[in-house]
Amino acid sequence: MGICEFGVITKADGSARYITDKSDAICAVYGPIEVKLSKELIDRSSIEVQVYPKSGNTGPPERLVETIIRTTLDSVVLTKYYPRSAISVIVQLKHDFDLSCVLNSVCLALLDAAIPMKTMFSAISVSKSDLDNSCLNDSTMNFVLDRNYKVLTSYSNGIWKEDELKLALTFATKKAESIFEFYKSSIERKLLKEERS
Amino acid sequence: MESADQFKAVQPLQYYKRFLDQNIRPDGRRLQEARTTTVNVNFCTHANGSAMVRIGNTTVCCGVKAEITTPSVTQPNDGIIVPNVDLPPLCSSAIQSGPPTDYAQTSTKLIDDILVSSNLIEKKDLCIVPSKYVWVLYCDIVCLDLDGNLIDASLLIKLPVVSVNEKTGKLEYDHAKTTSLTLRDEPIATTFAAFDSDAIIMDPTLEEENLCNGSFTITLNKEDDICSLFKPGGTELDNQKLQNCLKHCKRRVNSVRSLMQNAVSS
Amino acid sequence: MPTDTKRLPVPETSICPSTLIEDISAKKLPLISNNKRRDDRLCTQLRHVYAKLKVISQAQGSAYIEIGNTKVICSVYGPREVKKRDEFSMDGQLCCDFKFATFSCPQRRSHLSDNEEKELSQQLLNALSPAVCLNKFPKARVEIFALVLENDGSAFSAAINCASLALVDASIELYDIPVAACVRYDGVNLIVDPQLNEEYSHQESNLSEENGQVLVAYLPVLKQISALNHVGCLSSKVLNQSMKLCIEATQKMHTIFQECIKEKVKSIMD
Repeated sequence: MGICEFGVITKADGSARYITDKSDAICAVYGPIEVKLSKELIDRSSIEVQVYPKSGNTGPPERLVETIIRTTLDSVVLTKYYPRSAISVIVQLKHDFDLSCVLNSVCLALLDAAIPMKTMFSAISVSKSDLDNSCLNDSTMNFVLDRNYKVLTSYSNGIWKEDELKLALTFATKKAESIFEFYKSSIERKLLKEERS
Repeated sequence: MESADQFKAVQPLQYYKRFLDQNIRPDGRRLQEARTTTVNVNFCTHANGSAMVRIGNTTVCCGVKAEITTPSVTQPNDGIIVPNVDLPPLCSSAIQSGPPTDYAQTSTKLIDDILVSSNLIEKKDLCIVPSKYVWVLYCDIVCLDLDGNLIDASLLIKLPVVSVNEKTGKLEYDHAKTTSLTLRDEPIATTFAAFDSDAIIMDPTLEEENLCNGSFTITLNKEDDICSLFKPGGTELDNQKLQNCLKHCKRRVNSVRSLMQNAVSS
Repeated sequence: MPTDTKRLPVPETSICPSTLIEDISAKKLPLISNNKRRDDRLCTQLRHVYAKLKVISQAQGSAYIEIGNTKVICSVYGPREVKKRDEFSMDGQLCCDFKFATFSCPQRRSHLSDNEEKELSQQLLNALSPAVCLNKFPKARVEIFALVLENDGSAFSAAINCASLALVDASIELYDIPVAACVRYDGVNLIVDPQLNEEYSHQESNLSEENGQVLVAYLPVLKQISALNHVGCLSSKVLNQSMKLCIEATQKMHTIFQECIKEKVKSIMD
C-alpha cells in the first residue's frame, strides 16, 4: 500500500510524503494564497501546480503531469470558496516517476492542508501484469477514482483492448477502496498524534 | 435574433444548455457529430512528408524532416522521433509570442506518448548503421488556426505524413538507398467534451471547450484497440458512459480512416 | 547552444541527407537557355499566384498566398491596447514577426528565430509601415505574424504581399496596398520572381561579376516605393532597370489582389 508521512515540510500549509514500492513523492500545498493578477479568477481560486523530477530540468513531460493534476483538482477542490486567490501545489519526486504515487501524495497533502474538497480521490495504476500474471507487457492504465468510484481522470500507455479496459477499471475500483481506507487510517493517526502533543 | 445574441453574451453556459437539452448544438450539429474534416497530403516539397488537416476551422499542418544522427549509447539500434507541437501567436489572439505555452508542451508530450504506445513507427526501422548512424525524424506540427480539438487534428496529421515519408540518403558518398517507412499502426483520436454527465459532445469547438466541464480524448488504433485514454479531470464518468463514448469514437474513427485512405491514395 | 527545456530533447547534431549528395550539376545549369528559365518561364513572367483572404477564424484579418510553390500565411491582430505605460505614443504601433516553418526550407530551421528571421521581421515592418494610417489608432498596436510554410524562392516578397492582404482583411486603414516583387540579375539576364534555385546566394557569387537581387515594395496608387532591398553588386544602370521590372511585376500583382479584395467585398455585401 505504501507509507505516508504528514507535515514533512513545516513551512507549508499542508504537506505529505507518500512512498510506494515504485516511487516516492513529496507534495506541499500552500493556500489559499495571494494570486498573480494575470491568473486571478473572479469567481473561484486558481490552482497552480509545479512538478519537479528527481533530477534535471523540467520539460514537456512535467507540463503534462501538471496539467493532469491541475484539471483533476479543478473538478475536486471547492474552488468557489476562495475567489480571487490561488492554491499552490508543488510536488518533488524523490524516485522514478509514477503518476498514481504523485496524485495520491497530492490528495494526502490537500487533506493535511484542510483544503475543502467535494470528494477524496485515489489514483491507481493498473498494469497488464496485474490482470494477467503471464503477461509481460509493460502497458499501464492510470485511473483517478472519486468516492463513488467514478472515473475522474485516466491516462494510459500501450495498447488496451476494450474488455481489458473493463477489467482494469474493476481492478482499480477494488484497489481504490483500500486506498481510501488507508487515507482514513493515516488521517486518524495524524489527528491522534496532534491531540496527544 | 438580437435577444438571442444578448442571452449568449450574458449567460453563455445557459445558452448552450438550452440547445443541448434539445439534443442539438448552436452550430447545428448533433451532439455526437464531428465537424467537416479534410486531409491534404504532401503540400510541402521540402519536407520528407507533410500534411494539412482541417477539422472545421481548426487547421493544423505538419512537416516531417528526416536527418541523420548518431544514436544514444543506451539504444544503439533505435532511431529517434521528435514530435513538437507549436502554437504560434499567429493562430489565436490568446497566444502571445514567446516560448511554448503549457498547452503546447502538454500536447507535445501527449502526442509523443501516443506515438510510443501505438508503436506507429518501429524505431528499429530507422537504423542505418547500428550505434553509428540512425535517422532522426523531426515531426513539427504547427497550428494555424486554433478552434478547439487540437489533439485530434494533430494526431490525424501524423499518419498521412509519415506514410508518404520516402527517404533518400547517401552516407559517405557510397551506399545510396531509398526506403519508404512502414507504418505499424494508425492511431486516430477523438475528443469529447462533457457539460455534465448526460451531455457529452464530440469534437468541441474552442467556445465549447472553454465552457464545458472537462474534455477527454480517446485514441484508437487500427484494430479499434485503445492506445490512449486521456481524461484529465472534469466530469466524472462511470463505466457505462465510457463504453458509450467508445462506441461513438469507433464510428468517427472509421469515417476518418476512409478519409485518410482517400487522401493518401489520390 | 543552450538546450531548449520547453520542448522534447533533440539530438545535439544531425545532418540533412541532401547536403551529403553533391549536387553540382544543378548549380552549374545556366539560369536561362533558349530564352526559357529552368521552369520554362519567360524572364519577366511571374509564377501562378493564388491568394485568399480570411483563412484564420480567430484572427482579425488573415491571408494566404501561394506564388508557385512558395506558400505564406499571415494573420493580423489588433489594434490592441498597449499595456506598458512607457511605450505611450500618439501614433499607433506596428509589430511584425516573420518566421520560417521548421520544414519550409531544404535545411531544417530552428524553432527559435535566427538572425535572418529577425532581420526580415524588421524589414517587413519597414516595408509596411509607410502604408498604414498609424495616426488612426493612437496608443494601440497592430500585430502582424507571417509564417512561411514553404519557401521556393521570393518568400519574403510573398510575405509582404500576404501581410498587406491580411491588413486589408483586418480593415486596418491604409494609404495604399503595398505590393512587393523580386528581380534577380545573374550578370547577363534580369529575371523576375526567382524561385529557390534561381535566387542569389553569397556562396555562388563571383566578386568580379555583376550579380545580385533586388526587392521592391511599391505603393501602386501613390506611385511610391516603400522599401528597397538589394543584395549583391549591381551597376546603377542595372539597378534602375531591375527596379523598373519590379514595379511592372508589382502592378501585375496588384490587379490580382484587387480581384481578390473585390471578391471579399462582394461576399460581405451578399
